[in-house]
Amino acid sequence: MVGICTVLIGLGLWLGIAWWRKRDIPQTPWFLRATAVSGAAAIVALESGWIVTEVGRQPWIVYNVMRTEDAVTGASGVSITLAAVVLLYTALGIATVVVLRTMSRRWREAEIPETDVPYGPRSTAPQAAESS
Amino acid sequence: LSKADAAAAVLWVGATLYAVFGGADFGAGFWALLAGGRNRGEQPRALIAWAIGPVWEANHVWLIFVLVVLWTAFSTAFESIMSTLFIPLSLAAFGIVLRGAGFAFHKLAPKVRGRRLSEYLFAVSSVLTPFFMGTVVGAIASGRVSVGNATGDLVTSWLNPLSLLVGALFVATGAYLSAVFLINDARRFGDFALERYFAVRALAAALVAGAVAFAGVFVLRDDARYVYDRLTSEALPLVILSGACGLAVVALLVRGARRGTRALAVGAVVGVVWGWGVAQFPYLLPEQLTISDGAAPSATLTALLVVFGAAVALVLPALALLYTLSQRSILLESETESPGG
Repeated sequence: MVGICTVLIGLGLWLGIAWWRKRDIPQTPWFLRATAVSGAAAIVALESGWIVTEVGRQPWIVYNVMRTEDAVTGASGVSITLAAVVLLYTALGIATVVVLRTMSRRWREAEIPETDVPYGPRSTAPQAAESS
Repeated sequence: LSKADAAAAVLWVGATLYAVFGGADFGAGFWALLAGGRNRGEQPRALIAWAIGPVWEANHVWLIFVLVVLWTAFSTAFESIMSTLFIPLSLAAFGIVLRGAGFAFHKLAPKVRGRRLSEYLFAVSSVLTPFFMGTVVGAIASGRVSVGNATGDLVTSWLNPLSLLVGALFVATGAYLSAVFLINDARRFGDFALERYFAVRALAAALVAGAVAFAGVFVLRDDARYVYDRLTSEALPLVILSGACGLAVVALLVRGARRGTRALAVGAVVGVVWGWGVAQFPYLLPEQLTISDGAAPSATLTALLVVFGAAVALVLPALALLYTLSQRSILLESETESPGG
């Protein structure tokens, strides 16, 4: 996590310095390669961070206050709920990838305007919103 | 009024806002489900997507608000409710996730079949989620959640006549609120056929919700005596207020009037939520855990109340602006086609 973070900050500095001096991105394929990898690297860093805090904290759920075994629910069927959550999010993850790929394909074919996405920028803002 | 009572009032404010905004939001999904086949249901569904598109996520911040206040201020009650009622709560959570995914994907899925599946997921989970939340409220009101980690019955606590009835009441109330809101949305959109369409449905939903609430009184009498006794004494003015608001909406709709229907419909729901609160007082879990016994230490409550004050100052103006812009049709959700065609 710390390693990836440092590299990502370095990448940002590289871009910042190039922009400051030449008003352009660094002119080397290695910069583009690093940028392409940085998105996935950020997710890896995020997950590593979670693993460090959650696993590193054991056997405490609240450090030095409450142990995980004392905090866990007394209800049976936790494994079923866990399985259901894993299945649900696997299905949602697959659906998200499929939808994102479809959106990308439709844009390339100009089938839908680029504004037509959730949270996307709006090229034709309504008039009342423009004045605010 | 103690600090713990104030925290309980904050909890109830959150529950009220969720019942109104979240309820109307779930109700919209209910009407999407009932709208019928591909062509017949196309127009109502388009109006629903258009009406709730800009606000549907904001409506559900109140659920998070309620959960955070509950575990911060009343962690014993939170532990008891979450562990004993984890089945309906998990099902409600799955419903919320599937509903959001269905709504987000319903225009973007690659094939028509995928879009239909998304719409269907959105609509079905919009009905199931409030139903399971209602069973949770029924379980709490009837004293089936005992204090401690999963000490209540995991199944019969929420699978009983009262819980099922409150579940049905939640679905009916949401459908009623939503239909009243959609009448106004249809008019705002200038579609008079849809305005009549939802006026008829608002009337039907009002009658069903009224009937379920009426039946609920008798089930409460047999099953949740503490709540029933206070509902028919201390909380009676609120019950009467709720009934009067509900009847006034019916009278207005029958006469074809629209003005004031939304405020009155909201009044009917607020009356029920606060009627329940007053009926449970001073208990969080009737006859098992009082508000003062279940409350967090004083410093925690102070912090919570301060945060609530800050949230009121910061969040409410923003939400008011969102709803105002949405009602004046200034916000466009990312869609180019409109319900009319």
